[in-house]
Parts: sequence; C-alpha cells; structure tokens
Amino acid sequence: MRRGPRIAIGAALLLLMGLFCALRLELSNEITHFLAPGDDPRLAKLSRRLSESELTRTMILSIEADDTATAIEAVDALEAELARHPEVAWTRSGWNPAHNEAFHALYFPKRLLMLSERPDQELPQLLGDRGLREAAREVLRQLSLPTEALVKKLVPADPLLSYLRQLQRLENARKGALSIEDGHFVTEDGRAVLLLASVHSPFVSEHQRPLQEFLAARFDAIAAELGDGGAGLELEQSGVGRFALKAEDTIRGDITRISVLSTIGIIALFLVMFRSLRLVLLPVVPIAFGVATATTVSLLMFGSIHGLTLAFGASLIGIAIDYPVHLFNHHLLDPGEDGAAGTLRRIRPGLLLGALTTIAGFAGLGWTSFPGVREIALFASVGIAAALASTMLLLPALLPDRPAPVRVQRQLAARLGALIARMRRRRASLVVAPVLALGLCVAGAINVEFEDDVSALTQLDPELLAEDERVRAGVSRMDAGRLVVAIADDEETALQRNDAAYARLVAAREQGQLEDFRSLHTFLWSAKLQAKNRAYLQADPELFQRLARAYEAEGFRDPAVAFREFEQALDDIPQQPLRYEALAGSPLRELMGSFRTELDGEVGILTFLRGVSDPDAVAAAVNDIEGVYLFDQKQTMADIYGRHREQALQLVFVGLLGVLLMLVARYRRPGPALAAFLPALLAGGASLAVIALSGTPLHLLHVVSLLLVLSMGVDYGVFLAESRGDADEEAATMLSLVIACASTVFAFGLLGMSSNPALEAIGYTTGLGVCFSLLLAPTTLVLLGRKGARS
Amino acid sequence: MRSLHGFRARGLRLALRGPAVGVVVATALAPAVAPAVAVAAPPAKKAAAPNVERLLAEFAKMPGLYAKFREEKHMALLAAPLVNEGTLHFSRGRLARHTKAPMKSSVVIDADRIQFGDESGREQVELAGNPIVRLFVDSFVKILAGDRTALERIYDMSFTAAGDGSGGWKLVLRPKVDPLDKVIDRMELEGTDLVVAKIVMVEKGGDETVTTFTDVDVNRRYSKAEADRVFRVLGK
Repeated sequence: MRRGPRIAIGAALLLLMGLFCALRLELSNEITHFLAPGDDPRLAKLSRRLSESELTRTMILSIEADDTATAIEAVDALEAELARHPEVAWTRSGWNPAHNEAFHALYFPKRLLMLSERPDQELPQLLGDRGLREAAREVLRQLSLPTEALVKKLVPADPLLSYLRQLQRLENARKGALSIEDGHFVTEDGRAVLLLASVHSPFVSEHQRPLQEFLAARFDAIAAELGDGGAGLELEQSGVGRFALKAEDTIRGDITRISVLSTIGIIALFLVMFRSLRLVLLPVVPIAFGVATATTVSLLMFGSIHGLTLAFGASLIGIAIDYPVHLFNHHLLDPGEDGAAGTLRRIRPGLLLGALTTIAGFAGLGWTSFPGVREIALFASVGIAAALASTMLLLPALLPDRPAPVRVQRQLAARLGALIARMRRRRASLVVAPVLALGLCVAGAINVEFEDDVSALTQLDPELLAEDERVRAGVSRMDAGRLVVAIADDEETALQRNDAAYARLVAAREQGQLEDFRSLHTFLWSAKLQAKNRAYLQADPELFQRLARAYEAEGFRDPAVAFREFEQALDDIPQQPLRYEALAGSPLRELMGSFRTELDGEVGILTFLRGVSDPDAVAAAVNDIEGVYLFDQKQTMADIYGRHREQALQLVFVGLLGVLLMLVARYRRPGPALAAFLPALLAGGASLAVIALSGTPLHLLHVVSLLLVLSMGVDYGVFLAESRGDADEEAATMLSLVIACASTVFAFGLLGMSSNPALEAIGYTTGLGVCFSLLLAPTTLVLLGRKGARS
Repeated sequence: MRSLHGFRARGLRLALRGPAVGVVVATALAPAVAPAVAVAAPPAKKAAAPNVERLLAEFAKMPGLYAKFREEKHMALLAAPLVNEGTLHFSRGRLARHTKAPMKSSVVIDADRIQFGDESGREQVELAGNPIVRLFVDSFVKILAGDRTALERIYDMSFTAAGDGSGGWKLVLRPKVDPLDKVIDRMELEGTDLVVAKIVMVEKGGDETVTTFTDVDVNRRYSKAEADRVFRVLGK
C-alpha cells in the first residue's frame, strides 16, 4: 500500500478508537477486582458481596456543635437535604417510633414461641411448679418497679413475661455508645449522628463524588446558618466512599504527573539523540495505538477499566517506545537502501521476536483467576501488539528515507561499539557480573518476605483514617470485615446454624474473647427453636391450672379468671413461626438489612463482631458448627492474594519457559538463546532481590512487574543477539538499548515516586530491572554469543 | 432460672405504645405531687383558710423539698396491695423519687427527660420526642408549678373544704384531655389546712395508688455534691 492511504487509514482508526474511549471510558478502583475464588468460593463470594453490601454503602456522619441541641438541629437540616438526594437510599438519625408499633404487631402474637432461647435447659424448670412460683414472684417484683403499669397491662395475657423478655433482647442489642436525645442518636461527647446509605457502591466515583460534594456544600450552608458563620459546627464522617475517591484522585494525579514528566524527559532525550522534531513526535504513534487499542478492547471485553490497569497502560509507554527507538536509531545510523522500509526489514526479526516473547509473557498471566490481573494481561498484550503493528506498518511511511546523521548519536554508538570490543577482549572477567547478579538473587531469596494484605496496595490517607476511626469509636460500630457467617442451602437451616452460633458467641463474650456482637438471632429464631418452645408449652394440658395455682399462692387474685387471655393464648399458640419474610416486610427491615445475604442460591446469615481479642478462640468456638465460619475479610483476601501471587509467579516461570523455547527455536543453539534469555532472568531476580533486601515485602504487583522486566530484558537480549556478528549493528543496537532503557527509567522511575504502593512497586521493580538488563545484555552476549563480530 | 427471671421491664421506648405510656409516667410521678403541695403548707401559716389559689401559689415559692413517702398500690390483679417506701427530692426544676423498699429503684425528671433506673439498668425517655409523655409529665408538673391556667386546661378541678371547721379539704383533679383521660380517672389530694397528707390516684381500670407523706422538709436546699448524688438514677 502506498504511503498516503496507509497513513490515512491509520489516522482514521486511531481517531475512531479515541472517540470510542472518550465516550465509553469508565474507571473502577474496586480492590475486589483483584479477588478470585479461593478454596471456599462461598467465602470469596461473601467477600465480594460484603464489598457491595449495605454495610459498605453505609456512611456515618457525626456533627459537633457548641451544644448538642444545635448539633441535632444541624443533623435534622442535613438529613432533610440528603433524603432528597437521588444517591441516598435511606437516612436514619434516631429511633423511629414506627418501630414500636411494628415490634408489637410482630412479636406479641408470637410471644410464646420465643419464650426461651434455650428451651431444653430452661423450660422444664420454668414450667414446673417451682418455676411457676418463681415466675409469679418475678411478676410481683416487676409490679413494684416504676415501670409497673406497663407490666400490669401485659400480665393478664403474658404472665410469663415472654414479650418483655423479647423487648429486653432487642434493647440489649440496640444499646451501644449512642444514646437517644430528643429522639436523635447522640454520642457520649454530645455529637449528633446521622446514618445514611448510598444507592450505588461507594467505589463508583461517578455516583460517590457528587454525593460527597453535595454533602460538603449543604453542610457548609447549614453550618453558616446555624453556627457562628459556620465556625461552631464540625462534620466528621466514616465510610469507604471518601477513601475510594481519594485513591482514585491519587491514581489519576499520579498518572497525569507521570505521563507529563516522562513525556518531557523522553522528548528531551530524543531531541538530543535524533535532533528531529519529527522523530520526537513519531514515537507517539505506536504509544497512542497501543494505549487506544488496549483501552478499546478492554472496554469492549469488560465494560470498564480498573485504575491500576490504566496505570499499567501508562507504563506501557516504557515498552512500546522501544520499537520506534530501535527503528529510528538504526535508520539514522545506517539507513536502508530503499529508505526506512529497508531499515525495518533489517531489524524486523528482532522486533517481532521481542514483541512475541513479551506478548507470550503477558498472555501467560491471562490464565490467572484474578479478573484484575487478566485485565492487565489483555491490556498489555493487545497494547504491545498494536504498538508493534503501528511501528512496522505506519512509521516507515512517516520516516524520511535519507535522514541527516546526528553527531552525538554516532559518537555514542561508536563508543558503545568500542565498549563491546573491549568487553570481548576481557571476556573472562565479565563472568563477575552474572555471578554477582546471581549472588544478589540468592541473598534476596533468603531474605524475601511476602505481603499479601490487600490494604498494602492502597495508601490510606492518614487524616481520613484518623477521622474515620474517631467516628466509628463514637458510635461503637462493629468491626469492619470480621464476622461470623452461617451458610446453608435454605433459610431454616441457616437460622438453625445461626441459633447455634449465637449461643457459642454469648459464651465467648462472657469469656472475654470478644467485646460484643450483633446477631439476627435478636430478631428471629429458627422455626425449629420456636416449635420447641411451643412443644414444651403444649406438653402439659394442666399447665394453665398449675400456673393459676402458683400465682394464687404468691398473692394474685383469682388468676384463673384474671389470666383468661393467657389461657386462650395457650390454646391458640401459632402454628406458623415468625419468619424472615414477615420481618423484612415490616418497618423493622431497616434494622436488619445487613444480617442476611444470598450466596448463589444459598442463604448466608451474618453476625457482626466487635473487639475480637482472641480470633482463634472465637473461630474454634463456631467452626465446628456445620456451615458456620469466622470470616475475616482481610485474612481471607490475604490468603487469596497469597495463593494467586504464587500462581502468578508460577505463570511467570511458565511464560519464561515459553520464551526460552521460542528463543531456542529461533537460534537453534543454546549460546545465543541463553545470551538473549539470561539478562532478563538475572535482571528480574536482582531487581526483586534489591527490593527484598531493602526490607520491603513483595506483593502481587511486584510479581506482575517482574513480568514486565523479563519482557523488556528479553527484548534487550533478543535485539543484541539479532545484531551479533556485525560490530556496527551491535553498536547501533547497544545505543538503542541505552535510549530505550533511559526512556523506560524516565517512565518507571517516576512511577516509583507515586504515593500509591501498587504503582510504586511497579516503578521500582521495572526501573531497577531495565537497568540491570542493560548491564547484563551485552555481558551475556559477549560471554555466550559465539559468533565473532566483524567490522 | 436467672436467665429467665431477674430482668426489669426494659425496652421502654419500644413498649411505650399509646396510653400505656401514660400509665407508666403517671404511676411514676404520682407520689411527687403531694409533698410538693405540702411545701406550701407550713403550720405557721395555718391562720389562712385553704383554697386552690393559695395551695398553688405557695407551692410556686418552694425553694426545695425533701419527704419520705409510703405508697400502696391496690391492683385488681393482687389480693394484697404492694407497698413501696422511699424518699422524694425536688430542686431547681428537677424531681427525684428513690424507692428504698422492698426494692431499690429511682425516677428522675428534668426539663428534657424522664429517667428510670434500678440495680439492673436504666432507661430514659426524651420528652421532646414523645409528646404523649410530655403531656403526662406536664399534667403533674403544672401542679408543682402552681400553674392554675394550665391545670384547668388539663383537668376539671373541684375543691371541697370540710364544713366542720377542722380545716380539712379535698382537691379532686379529673383529666379532660386525651389520652390522659383514658388512663387516669382522677387524682384526689387530701389535707388539713395547707398540709397534704395523702394523694390517691385512681386509674380507669379501678386500680388505686395511695401515697402518704412524712418528714416533709419544705425548705430543703441541696448542695451541688448532694444534688449530683440525689438527682441521678440507679443502675448503669
């Protein structure tokens, strides 16, 4: 194809992909994107479900004012504003009076089904003659208290006080650091509290950011109105939304800064080396094609792109720019007779082999079960392929056939050629370099530590974290991410398991293994437990007569008549237990929204824990109940990440084996194949060793970055191996590697300055790795590339 | 059996449904009223003839109060009355009732809330968020405040002086506003001259609470430390 149409088609394609990306780009920063099913897929699903649950979507706002009344007034005003916001699912600032009626309507008719949590232990005694006398004395005691009137009203229908007992269970569960003042939640230090949940996941900035902006603006307005020009009121909040936004801002900011600075650095480098504005601009073509194609394909495949994937895409510059650099350098030093196309033909085998080995390495990652890593693998493979294709198809058409020689470039190439010649003369002493690298690898392997905590991939803003912890402490919120889960195929079995777990947790709390917990058991028992209560009450047809005698003996007047309502209730104990659907259909559902979850057809009932001081003991207490687990989201995620770090490392080695086989197939002799292969292997190992020896634990993204180092290292080795036997070609290729390495260090060195630990890991690993590769590539070429150089 | 017995009627906010709240508040407050009226009845002022205006006006001047009470609850449920004994305290708008026998419990009321407590815990009801509770509290507080206008809005009042020259009298308050009138039939305050000896609260169901007062100190002034101790409910 002639130059003109080829360029036009390329430009049109780039424009179309650019438009598509601009219109469809949706960024995600949900860390669970890097989650894959572990040994128990239900727990992994639970972890994902938790990240999307109402618990994650709940925010706690805490308002401080000069006095609590003003804080309450501010909460009322803010709640009124937020309740109208489309992103707010619900708000709650105090006890809802509607719950009182709902509670009575639900529980009073079923009171006898919920007489005892431990019917086998308690009811034989309670319903015996002595137990009934004690029950009568308890009623007398209640009647002498200030709340006597309430008890007096209930006793005729409920002399065993089963309904009051349920009230007490609920009250105990409701208690916490919050008190109720003027109908509002108030902390011990007088702050008014507002709870709210967002409609969408807090990880989706498209929804979370406007909500946060609205919240800040409305609070400022309210503070200005109520406080002394806003000075007296202070808003603090707890919730993952702000952390997600902060992380996204950091990633976006880093990407922008890195892109700008690396571009400036690379432009300066190219201007010095090539002295041509055209050659400064042309590398943008394969980079743009690489990023645009990778983004387009990722959006088509996944619908959105994770922030880390895009950050990795920015890093792609480091690889993609190597191809035009190699082409320009050779073309300027020794242009082909038929122009750039001829130069390209000369270096094409190296470019193709380098790109193929890189793609093979990335494609190996595609076998991992992490969605995020698969996305990175696809992005990188597609990006590299597109960058190479545009380098080979478009750049020759855009390059001058007879470029003006650049003095600096030629001088540098000559010196590098001389350096290689000197290295050949001192071949034996070169062994020191790979031996040192190997020694570094061994030392690193001995000292390496792995960090699989997901939070290591995110840098939490310390101020936000401190504020979040203050607010959580004020409301005694349950610990995030640590809970007991009862899982079963059906609701009833799950409830039975939850009943059993509840009893164990009560014992664990009494033994100080945890501070407190919140369980669905407070609201709902299994049908089996309710039926057991009914069975005990119906077992003795003389129960009412015995009860009447016992109460009469304790001073009650004519109980057989006074308690006629109870006699009727005993005859008509409901056959149908209280069920979850009834609670979920009542106003009480807002108190229970987080307790139950569906796990692909199974029912999971969650119990939230606070202050677990002995996780092993709590786990031992519940884990022997079938289907019940102590679930530690952080630990579970760390386990999964750990397994997949190992898996990724294995895939890297599998990829390396594939690369080695490709090199052996190409060179058909071990010497050149190893000359191309070993620099990457040693450089990758040495870079991780340096990081490990610096005391930094390695995590999954170090392993991912290792793949990047290996890919580029193999490119370096391949480019040199392809040039072996021709001193001029070797010198030109060596200069290509220096420029490629410098440009990569620009890009990745700056990534190492990122405040995001994930980007930092990628930056340090790749930055060090390419430098080691540059040093080792000519060394192994001289040591193993047998073909002697001819001038 | 302790797990089934030995709890108190907590979850009050949940339980306070409709008129039930009035019963709780009314029975908790009833003993507080009479000695407060007695404040205005020191024997030295016996010369003046008793009437409603004087009773209420003298009460409004009260600086502080201490009294012992004995309360008998006559319930249809029980063959014999339940008897409570304890002390009453009033100062600067705060009212405390501490029951000493047969079981310890306490009630404290201030402008914002009513609190209940015993050895097993405490409860409180915010008045601002509970207009019904506020009405019941006000129905008593207005007596303490000597606010005849407000009382006449809540009660039909009838004052009867004994015709035998003994100085005896009886003030009957019948609620006329909903839901107070659904809970309380009447309150009867009885005394001689300006000294109230007994108050009887009759509930709609027929149950009665009869409270008598002794050792009334109408000029009691509480130090800060003493007030902090007295106007605090039992329980955690």
